[in-house]
Amino acid sequence: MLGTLIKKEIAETVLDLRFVIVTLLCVVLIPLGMYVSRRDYERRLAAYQTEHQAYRQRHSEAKLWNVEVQGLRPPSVLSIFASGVDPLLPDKVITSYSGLFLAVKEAGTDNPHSLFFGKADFLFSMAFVMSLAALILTFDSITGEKASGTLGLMVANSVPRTHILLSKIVGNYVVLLIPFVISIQIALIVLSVSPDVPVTSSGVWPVFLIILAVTGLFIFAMVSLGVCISTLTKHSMNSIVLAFFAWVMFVLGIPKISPMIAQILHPIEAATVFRLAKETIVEDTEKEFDQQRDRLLKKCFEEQAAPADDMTQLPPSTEEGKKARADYEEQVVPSVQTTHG
Amino acid sequence: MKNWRNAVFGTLVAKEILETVLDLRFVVATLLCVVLIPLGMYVSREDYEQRLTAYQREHETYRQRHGAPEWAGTDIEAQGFRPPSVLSIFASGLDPFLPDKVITSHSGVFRTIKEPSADSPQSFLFGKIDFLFNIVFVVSLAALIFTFTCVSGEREKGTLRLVVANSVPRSRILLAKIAGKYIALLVPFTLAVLIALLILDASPDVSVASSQVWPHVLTILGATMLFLLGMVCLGVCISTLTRRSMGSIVLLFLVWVILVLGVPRISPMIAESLCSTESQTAVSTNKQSVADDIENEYYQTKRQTIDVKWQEEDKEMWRTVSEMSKDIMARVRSSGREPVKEDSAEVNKFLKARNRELEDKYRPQVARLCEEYRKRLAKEIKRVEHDHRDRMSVQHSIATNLSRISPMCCYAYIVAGIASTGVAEPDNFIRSAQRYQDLMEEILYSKFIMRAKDSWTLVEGFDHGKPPAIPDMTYVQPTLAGAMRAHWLDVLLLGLFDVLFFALAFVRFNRYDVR
Repeated sequence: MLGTLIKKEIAETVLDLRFVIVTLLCVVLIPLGMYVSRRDYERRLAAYQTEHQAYRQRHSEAKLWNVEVQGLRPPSVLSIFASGVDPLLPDKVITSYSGLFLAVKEAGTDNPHSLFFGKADFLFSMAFVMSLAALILTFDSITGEKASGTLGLMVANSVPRTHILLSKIVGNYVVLLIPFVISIQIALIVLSVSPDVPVTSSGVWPVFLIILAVTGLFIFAMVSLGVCISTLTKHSMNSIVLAFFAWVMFVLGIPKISPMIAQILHPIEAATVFRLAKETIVEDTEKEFDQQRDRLLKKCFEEQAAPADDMTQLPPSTEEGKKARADYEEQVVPSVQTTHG
Repeated sequence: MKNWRNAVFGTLVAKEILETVLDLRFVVATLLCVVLIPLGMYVSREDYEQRLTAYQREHETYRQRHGAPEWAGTDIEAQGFRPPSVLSIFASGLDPFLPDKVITSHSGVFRTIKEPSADSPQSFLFGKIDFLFNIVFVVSLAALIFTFTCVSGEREKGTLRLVVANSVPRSRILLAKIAGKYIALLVPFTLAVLIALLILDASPDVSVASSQVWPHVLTILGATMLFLLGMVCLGVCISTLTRRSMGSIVLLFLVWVILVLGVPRISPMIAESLCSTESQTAVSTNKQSVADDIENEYYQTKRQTIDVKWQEEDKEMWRTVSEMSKDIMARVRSSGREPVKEDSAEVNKFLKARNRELEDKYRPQVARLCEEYRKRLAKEIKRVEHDHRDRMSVQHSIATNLSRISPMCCYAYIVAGIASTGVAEPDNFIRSAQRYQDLMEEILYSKFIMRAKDSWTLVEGFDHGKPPAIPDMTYVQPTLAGAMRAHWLDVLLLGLFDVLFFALAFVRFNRYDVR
């Protein structure tokens, strides 16, 4: 009986206009998003390789007095699936003698429209489009059948209610997987065409499978939510309103509100303020070190009764000056180690 | 007759308002508006205050430590800072991606730095819930949810034919629906905006009544109302295209996804495919390579044309000094006494005078050559920038025009443009940065002449012990008039969309089978 109910649900949903529209959206948006994400990744990889090569060529011979070694961040191949915070992550780190490093995000915005509206990557398609599609397909699964009278007939045939509910969830889930699988296959073909994206490599395909499994789980959750919403109301109109409310809260509201609430409950200083504090400490320490070094030099020259003019001469012209300089050099090195420690 | 028609129209509008207000949808929409809009405004305000404090502190620290240098050297790299825009509270737009400061340099190539912030990675991952987001995603969907059953739903219930049977013109029925739904939607929206404005005004850093804020806020609200009218007309139009509510909901879903999620994200993709450009990183690398090449050429030319002659005359000078020293030593030995310091006075005098002559002869040549190469460097850097910007502007133009298919994009451009966080802002920043680099070039960097790598001399008359104070970067944010001039087409398109959706609904409704 369960099998028959599932088949009925599948047939009903597949013959609905909603299924056609969801399939159309998935088959267009997901591969298109994957194509553009792939192009974007190729461009970023080329830019990284160019900059890395140029840096190594320009700084292959380090000069001791002005070296600020730089480290560059390579783009992640899996950022094709979810750009996430990648547009905001620093591109490189510039180390320095002071002990502070500067993490730098390269200037300018490569594609302001993409950054303004966001990218239509895999994560976006699933989180926004697929989730809404799941709710649209399932919001009237109970209320719609009640309105058409078929629910009463089913229950009257002594079909367990759990079977009815399970069949609705499983049936709608299976139907939703059809456009999802088709679009993923097209997207994989789009990805495998690129020489820079090793889809079959051991660093990519296991992660990709996990992403797909998690996505399957997410879609199941949204289908269950849609059916749940349908059981909470008596009319399809109320179901759609509740589904809309639930979608806005779960997909748009809660993810954006939680960091806000966290910031209110536990506010912290801005990163800029924190960095300024570190720089101030370094500058003050360096100033203090310079002052101490000058005092030490003066003390060494006084002890050796060397002329004050010799302090600025390198090497000193008098014997006393040379002795004083040697004393100073002996004492200043442990001081340097202490300061940088 | 006219009075009767007006009375009927008023009655229909009142009926629509009452119907909507008594619906669960109104409660849900009001709840969402009254929670999300003020909450978003509160958090945006807090975020702005934090950014403003960070900017003021960094700017002040910089001015205290480096604003009035006691000594000018080639290690001075003047920094300019970008102040946060108060209207970014309404639309964060590109603000999280714009650089925070520009670091100018002697080489002519400025760097723009975006301070990486670990303030809240979740905020970056999920985005901010600012006013623009709430209107585009939440209120627009609410508008469509309000209206998608206004024709098809009434047809199903049977009340539509009753209304039409009362010889009420269909145009009035349609207008009444649009007006009624729009007024009903404005109730929660106005309530939410009033609460949000109160929250905004409570901040010491934001003065809503100031002349820099209230005209902009009014314009944003005006654009918002135009946009929401368009969404209401679209919802009514969708309702006239189908005979059943279920068909309407499906069509609504498709239209909303395409207009709000699809078109804005796909247009840049298409623009990039049609007109691809180099990345900003590649351009920066290119500029640095150009600067290095010109610098190397300068040193080579200087070596070949000036240094060779200078060194020759220098060698001649030292030969003369050596001969003079030998003569003096011979004279001193022949007089039978030990040489003293005063014996070398003549040689020192000659050395000093000759060095001075050579400096006076060759330094102006070095200065002229340096000036020539500096101008060439600035010209080349600007050429690379212009080439890149020209190609980018073609791509941006394609993306912008394609995205204008969606009224949501037109609305977003208007609001973000007024808030100085729109797609034109990165160019604005680069222009400000270039102006600052040129200013520093004029007052400080051009006073240094490159003799060799890491070796500089000063232009005649410049005292490096009394350098000029480092000026602030002037960052010009567009005025309201400027923003409206830049986005007049988007305003026009929003109005046209309203007319288009209404016209389509009108044509469909006139032929609509009400049975």
